[in-house]
Amino acid sequence: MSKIKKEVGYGCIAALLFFGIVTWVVGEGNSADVSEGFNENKEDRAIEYKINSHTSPESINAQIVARKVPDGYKLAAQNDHLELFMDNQMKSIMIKDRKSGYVWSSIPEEEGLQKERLNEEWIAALRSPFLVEYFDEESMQKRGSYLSLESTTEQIEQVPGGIKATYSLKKLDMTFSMEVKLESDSLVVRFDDQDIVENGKSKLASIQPLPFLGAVLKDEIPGYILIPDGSGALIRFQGMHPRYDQAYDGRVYGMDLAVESSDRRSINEQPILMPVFGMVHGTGQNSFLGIIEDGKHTSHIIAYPSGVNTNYYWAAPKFILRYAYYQPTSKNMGGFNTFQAERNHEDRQVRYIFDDGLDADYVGMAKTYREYLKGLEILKTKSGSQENIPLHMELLGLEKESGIIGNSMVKMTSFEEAEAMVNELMDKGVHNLSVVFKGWGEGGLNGNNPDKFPVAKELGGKNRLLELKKILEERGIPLFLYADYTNAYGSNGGFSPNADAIRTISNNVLSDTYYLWFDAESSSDLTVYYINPKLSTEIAKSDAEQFDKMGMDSLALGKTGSLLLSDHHPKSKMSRMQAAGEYEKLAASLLGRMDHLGVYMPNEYLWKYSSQMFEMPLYSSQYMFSTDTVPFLQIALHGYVDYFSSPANYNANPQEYVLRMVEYGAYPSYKLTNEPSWKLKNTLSNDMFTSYFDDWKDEIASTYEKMNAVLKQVQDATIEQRNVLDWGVVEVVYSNGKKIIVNYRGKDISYENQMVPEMDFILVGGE
Amino acid sequence: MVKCKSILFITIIMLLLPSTAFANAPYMTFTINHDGEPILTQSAYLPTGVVDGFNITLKDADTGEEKSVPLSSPEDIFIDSKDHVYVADTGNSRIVVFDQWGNYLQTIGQNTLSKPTGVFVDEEGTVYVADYGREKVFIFNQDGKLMKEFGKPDSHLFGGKNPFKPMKVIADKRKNLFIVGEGTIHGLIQISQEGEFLGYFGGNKTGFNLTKMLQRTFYTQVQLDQLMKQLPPSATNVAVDREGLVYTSTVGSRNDSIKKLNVAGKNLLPDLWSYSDITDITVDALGNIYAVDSFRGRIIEYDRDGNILFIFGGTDEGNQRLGLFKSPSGIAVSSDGRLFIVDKQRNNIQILKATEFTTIVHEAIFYFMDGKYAQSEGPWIDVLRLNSMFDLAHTGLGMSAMKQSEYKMALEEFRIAGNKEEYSNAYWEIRRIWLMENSSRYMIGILLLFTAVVVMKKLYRKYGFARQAVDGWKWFKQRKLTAQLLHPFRLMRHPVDGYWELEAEGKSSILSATILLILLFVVRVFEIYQTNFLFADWDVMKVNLFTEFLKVFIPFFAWIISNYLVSSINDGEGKFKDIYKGTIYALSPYIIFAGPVAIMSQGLTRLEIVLYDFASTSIVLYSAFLLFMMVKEIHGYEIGQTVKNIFLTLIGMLIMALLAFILFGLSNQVTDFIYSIFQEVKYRVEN
Repeated sequence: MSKIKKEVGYGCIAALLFFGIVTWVVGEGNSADVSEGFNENKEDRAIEYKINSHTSPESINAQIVARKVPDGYKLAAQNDHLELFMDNQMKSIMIKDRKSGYVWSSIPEEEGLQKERLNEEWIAALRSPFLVEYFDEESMQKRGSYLSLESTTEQIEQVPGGIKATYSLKKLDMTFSMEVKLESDSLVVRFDDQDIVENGKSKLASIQPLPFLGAVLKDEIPGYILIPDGSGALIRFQGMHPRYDQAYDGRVYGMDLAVESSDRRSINEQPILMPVFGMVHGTGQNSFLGIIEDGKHTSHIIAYPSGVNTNYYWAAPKFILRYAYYQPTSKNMGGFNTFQAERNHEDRQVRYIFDDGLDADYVGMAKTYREYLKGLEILKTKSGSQENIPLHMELLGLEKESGIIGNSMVKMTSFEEAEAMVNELMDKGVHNLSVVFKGWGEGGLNGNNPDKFPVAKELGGKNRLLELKKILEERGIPLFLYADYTNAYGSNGGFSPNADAIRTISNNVLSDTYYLWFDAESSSDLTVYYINPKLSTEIAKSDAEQFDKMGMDSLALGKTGSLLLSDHHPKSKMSRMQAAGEYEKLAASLLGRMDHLGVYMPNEYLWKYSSQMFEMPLYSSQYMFSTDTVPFLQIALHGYVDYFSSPANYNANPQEYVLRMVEYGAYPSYKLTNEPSWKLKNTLSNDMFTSYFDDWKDEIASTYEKMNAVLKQVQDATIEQRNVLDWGVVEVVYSNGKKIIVNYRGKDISYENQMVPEMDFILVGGE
Repeated sequence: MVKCKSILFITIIMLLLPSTAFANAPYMTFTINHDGEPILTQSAYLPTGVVDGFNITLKDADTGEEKSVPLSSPEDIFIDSKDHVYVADTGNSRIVVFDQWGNYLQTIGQNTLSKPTGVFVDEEGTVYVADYGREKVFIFNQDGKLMKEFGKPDSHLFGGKNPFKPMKVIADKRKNLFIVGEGTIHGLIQISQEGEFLGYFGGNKTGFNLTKMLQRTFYTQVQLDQLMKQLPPSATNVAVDREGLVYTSTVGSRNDSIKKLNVAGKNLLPDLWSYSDITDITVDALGNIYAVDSFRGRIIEYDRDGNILFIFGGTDEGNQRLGLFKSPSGIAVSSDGRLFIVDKQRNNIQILKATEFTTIVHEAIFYFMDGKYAQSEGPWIDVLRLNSMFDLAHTGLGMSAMKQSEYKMALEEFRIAGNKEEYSNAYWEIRRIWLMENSSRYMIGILLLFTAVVVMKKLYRKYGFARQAVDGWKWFKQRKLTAQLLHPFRLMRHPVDGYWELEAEGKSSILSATILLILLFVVRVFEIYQTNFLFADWDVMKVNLFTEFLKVFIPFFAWIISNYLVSSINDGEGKFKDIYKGTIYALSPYIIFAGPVAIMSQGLTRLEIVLYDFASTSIVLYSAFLLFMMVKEIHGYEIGQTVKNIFLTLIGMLIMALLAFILFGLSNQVTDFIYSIFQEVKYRVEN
């Protein structure tokens, strides 16, 4: 027995050994598999730049034949630039550019109209000098035009430079007058509020003057409409296009939340900062720029692409006289539809500036707008430019966190740390900065507003802040303290929601909620009110004194620059126009005590007061009917004021974003904290998913170096030309002769006798 | 896998975020963290192009004129290995082929097809088309020549009465066809290359429905027959990946929305979370799954294991911005990672491109999924730099740290990621090392302590060592209040005697009971904050002390009141204060042991979850037992009567809850009514 056992034993050992050796030899071989490296396919194709977030190259168009002024029209006015013709009832007008001979008509050609199969309503509209919306006896909102409402022209009187026609809308029993006159190279259309007489039961909701001025049927004339969407967008005339659902209905200066509800607000829609629009018939041939001058606060800009109701492309301003709204009568939102009883009493005026030749494109229009703003002293020559471009550094100091018992404060950046961060960046080569400090007060960023003081002790207190300011000042860097005069929340001494908050048109206090978590309710959810603008101005005045005493000289205005609301509180009623006036007074009083006022995404009425503009849009909303995005805003502003982009550390395409900033002449901006951003997880700033300074400092330095090398040379120059050389390749020409060429493509491009590397930019020429 | 909370509110919430637009997209992009909460992130995909099909030219047979026939109601899209894009142009009864840049290549099946709703192309370039209109599956070769067609299978296994309405089709590596048929509840129809029916594959199950269950229990057969049968939903679409695994998407079922099926038809991703209206799915070369929710216009991207990477997109409700969809019906991915989404109502294909951020995430996942943790570390660090709330990155870094034996760092990363499994593993490693280093020291220490105690005891007995301390302690124990506070110990060991003493011998008082009650709440709070997060079901950050307070005291007082009321009807002997004291003392196991158990849990890993569960369960059971004893002893019942009493008490508590609910609801209605009247009056007066 034992012998067999022994043999079996030996046999097993031998087998094991054999097995082990084999495994060892063979096993190693398998893992030498070639693993695929990660495939980063970077092919370069032009089609990627045909997307409407870029601009397409212009093609040369044949000379467009001008229309003839029909016989029935007589000359109503003329000056050196333009001739104004009208028909005998002033149902339509024609403007002839004396230099080029081109004729703009307020209604499309009758021939083309006949061929189109349109319903009665639209045929009437296309032949009318205005479109109106009105509320009938049952409070239903209806549309009408001169012809559909059986109107007559009661009176036509000569005024210096033009004519004033009084229309009587028989069906609605109301009259109003429209004045059309020439001023140098522009046509001015005006509605005086006192001339609007409503005798019947119907009430006017809105008026659109000369809606079809320059309207184009499909693509019979090459060209485009310019809309002030974000930085600017073009709607080119196309013959073949998909079916669109609706027209563009842009609200100038954003939606008035006190009147319109927010369900129609779509995510991340770009704002309208300027009340302008335009039309080009043939690039480099004929164009006009429309600027809404009076009544701009309650106006919309409408642009219809072909295929919506008619096959015409047309654009016009719409003045709102009365808003419709829903009056709730119970907490469950039962209620009824009604409209504003008293109309908005404002005079309304829109100016059309005509151009021809090389300036007849969006660049020319932007330059025209720039000259216009200079004329009104809204843009003034920049002073105090340093050698290097500034980099916007937005720091977050203190935030409020929901806690176990009560709330605690999370310190993200103290004043001392801010100083260290600035020093570190400057050592790395960032020569010029513009520092905005948010959340510097005791309540933190979402703690209390408008009570801002005292300065947070956790961050170092008032003295340390002053010290920081002095140190930065020595290095030529302004320190802006962030101030918000629009929202009120938290515990406040002088603010009571029922008395001081803005009320909606249905007399409810307007409030918003900032949610902490998406799913569970939290005691940290913040109810936010809106401060009546008049009160804001008073608060700002007293704040300015305190800031001055503290020794601070720069302030950054958030939200107040871009949010414009009317107030319907019975004791402090205020229209949007009055609110804008108050904000202008606010800005002026702040400037009285401060040296610099930086504003976040300011509307045009605050441009006069802004020494720096933060978070200016570099994109448009990319509507399906828009064909291009253009830097209209930037061309108008560059050289007169420093403007910055949205924080670059939140952009999903960091490399491409740098190219865009350089192309648009915008300076870089970063949102930073000294502490890592996960500390904000339980605060209302938990959407700041990246802000850690140590993570970003190297990239900031290298980005700055690249951008500064090029942009510092054109800091005070204006943009004179913008040429798209090919899909994704743009050339921007500045007034000092320097040109910046940006290449978005995945391959190198040759330019004159140089190469522009892929995803890069170069600066050429100049003195 | 992560259970997600409801994400329907995202559309509302996003309007109220106080920050500016992060990117130029008309939608927000989210990732999901370990708690199932949406975390905002940079845009993952941005619109990069639109294909309308205006470049598709059709030569009119009669006039020879070329006119453009753009896409019309396209319902499916497929991209083959050569990056050719095949679109089932349903409204125009044809399959249109583009290259990946939108240039038109050819049309297939113009005169053969009626209503093609599904298209698939295999490795050799053979085109499979599911034609809903003609109820057949057609197979074309690369040039567009018809090779085969299959109608309804003859096999009686298929069922003569079952309709054959093919909507989508794929072919696997063995060239077997899997067909999604309308109304086919048994799964995908499997057909061989010769047209032979091979069976059903991967069917869905009906979900659990309480109403249906009750109906089945209580209804008669006749009534049941009259009800609609609850059938499992049938799949909406199907895809196949590089390894030949089949994916199905389904509408109408939360749990089975997306399934990844192995050869046996088993779902490999049972815990996958998704919306319930998935109309199409596709898989890219790395195994990432993309799903389209047509109801919300959202696109979800998952990694190979079913972790949600990104959710983005939205419906176009009239604002007509690029990147929004009206009715997305199909999705496909090109080899360079661009998404092609076909929109049935807009009649176009929108192309979305991955952003630089997403490219880094994909790179990190590529290495991570392959187990190359060290290589994934670099990209993960980049991802975290760009978005420090990206949980998957923390897990990735944690795994990398584990590989390099850096257990403390791994622990930290897993804690931030909320990855309980890996945290447990990392902790196990740390504990092992700690034990190895320190256990000997602690053993010796305990031994010494033990010896010291024995020695002291001996000394005391012999020589009266530390007599004063012992006497002091004895005296302290005799104090009335202390005795009462220490009574729970006796009660736990001798419940019957304990309760007798409670009542008769004054071994408890209202004061001591109240102190213990407060202690109960304190212990509860302690438990909330001290239990190891591995075992805790709750999120410490979201705990609302006031709610916890209510959760402890409302049931407590409801029980006492209800019990008193029921007992007084049923000849119970206990007075109210006895019930009060008795209940609190019955909860003494919890008061005494919950704290230590929570502390103990700190040192355990998931592997020892049994210990923790056992300890907590015993506490609960013992308390329940003591409660039972309390009712019996205090009221002087027999066992049967005790059971009846407890049952009635519970019903009493339910009735109290119902009353409270009704009162609350009513008062709400009343206040609302008064408010409405007030508003109406105010409005009328002002006007």
